[in-house]
Amino acid sequence: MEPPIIEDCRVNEAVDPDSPLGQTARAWALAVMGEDFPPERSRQFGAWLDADPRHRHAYEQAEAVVMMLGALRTPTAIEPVRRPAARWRVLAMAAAGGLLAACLALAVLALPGPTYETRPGESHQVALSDGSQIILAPASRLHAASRWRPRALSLEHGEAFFVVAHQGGQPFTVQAGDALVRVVGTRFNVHSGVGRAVRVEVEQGVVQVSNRPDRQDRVVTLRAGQTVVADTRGLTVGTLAQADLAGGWRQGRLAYDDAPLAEVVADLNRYGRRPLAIGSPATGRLKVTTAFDVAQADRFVAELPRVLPVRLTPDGRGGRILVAADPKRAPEPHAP
Amino acid sequence: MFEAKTSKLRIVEPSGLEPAAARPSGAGTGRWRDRPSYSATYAREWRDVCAFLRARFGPGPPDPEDVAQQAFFKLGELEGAERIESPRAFVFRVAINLMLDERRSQARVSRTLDASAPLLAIDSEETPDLERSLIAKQQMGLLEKVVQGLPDRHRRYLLANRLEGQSFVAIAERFGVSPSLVRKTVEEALAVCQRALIHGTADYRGLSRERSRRS
Repeated sequence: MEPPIIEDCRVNEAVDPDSPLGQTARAWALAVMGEDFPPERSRQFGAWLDADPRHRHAYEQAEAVVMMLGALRTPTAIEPVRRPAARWRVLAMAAAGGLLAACLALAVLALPGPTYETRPGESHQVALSDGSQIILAPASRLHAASRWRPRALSLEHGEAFFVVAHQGGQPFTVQAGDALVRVVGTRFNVHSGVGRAVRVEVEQGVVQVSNRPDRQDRVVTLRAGQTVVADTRGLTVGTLAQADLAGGWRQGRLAYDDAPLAEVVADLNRYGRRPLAIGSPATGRLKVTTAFDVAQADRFVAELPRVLPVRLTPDGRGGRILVAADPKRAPEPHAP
Repeated sequence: MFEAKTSKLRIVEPSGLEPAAARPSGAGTGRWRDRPSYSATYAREWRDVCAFLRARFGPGPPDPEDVAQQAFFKLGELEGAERIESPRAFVFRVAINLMLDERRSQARVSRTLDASAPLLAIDSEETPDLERSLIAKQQMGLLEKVVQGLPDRHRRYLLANRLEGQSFVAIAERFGVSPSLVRKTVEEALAVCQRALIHGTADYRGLSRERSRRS
């Protein structure tokens, strides 16, 4: 695009942005858009504007540029310029810095955000730069969408408890499977289970969860003490007996309500116990309602054959397999 | 027996706990007004926006509170999927644009054009006249070039503030620098843009501590 020719004579009246007046006007325009602007400040601002017609004139010019910048089309503005190498020389003066900056920006934008990962049996506390805290459960993996958006996180697998700091109304999001959790500042737990089921429990504040946001599915708003399971059937809201039961794994407590055995087993394996496998999908679909301490996990596993139609067999490598008690008649609790 | 400890979690429908916002069956209610951050923004920013509009544009007409109300309404109407800047920045920006629109149409009626009018002709909702929109388009084109040519730090901070609506403090936290550095950097970048629009060409002098590559 050719450099525009500003023909309008009114521009002659432009206030020099480097004059003292121009600088003050710019400072006001930026304060409005980048800083707290409580009513007291507006009163000072109004007094300054009204003190001299030139003040208002200068301010309006600065504000106009601020507003124009806000209307830049994002892709062209943020994405770096790609130009053929042959044009290097032509562009040398203005673009050398620009290209360098563009490359740096590309690097920054393309840089994936940090990834946090825990091994089985270990959990890890993460402090984000915005003041938010994450407690990552064992064998879990979480990453930020990009350096550019540190408050947009994805829980790839496992479980994490979030203590979200308020940040000027900036949303904090956690994607897990197809579920998107959106909050401003609160404490909540996200568990990414088997079969793309995601469970969210809220200890404090308000959390919004949507399933398949791309398809504009329904959205639920959870308050403290509420929980939702997001899976292929949609969103199922429930309540916790007490709000502080959210993310109970942090105290070593695992609780399940009508959860598939596969989910319980997957969680147990995250705690780095003797590996436990499931012999058949049908066994994995058996429903379990229980609460126990991780330290008691071995006892829990040992007692499973007494409450479910399963038995334990060694896998020959130190681990165990949960198989249907009667392999000829594999339990199909949900099939007709 | 594990059944003994069953009721740690109980599945119930949230009857009457929530107004319409939380009703799961409210198909596709992804609007901003249904979000918790909407009411939070409203509660936090309402007085600030109104006081600002009154200081900036006077008591009206249009009434500052009416305009603020409209701006919040527009925020509430946005679909949840739409990615916008921070709600505060959105409300300020929309409110200012509404005021400028109003004033522009008043100015057109009275045939007295504001001195800064060409710079203001940016929002596409109403195109006052062909010439003005042409100038505005040219200026936007120039501005995009200027912004792309800014040093990395200047452009990142400027766009984080102008496009994402982040406060200087938020940008400072995000990039791990001091708010005063962010402020100074955005100020310098804005000055470059202002000079470019006045002179019609980019001039990157006066930027702090950057690898200068021009003679």
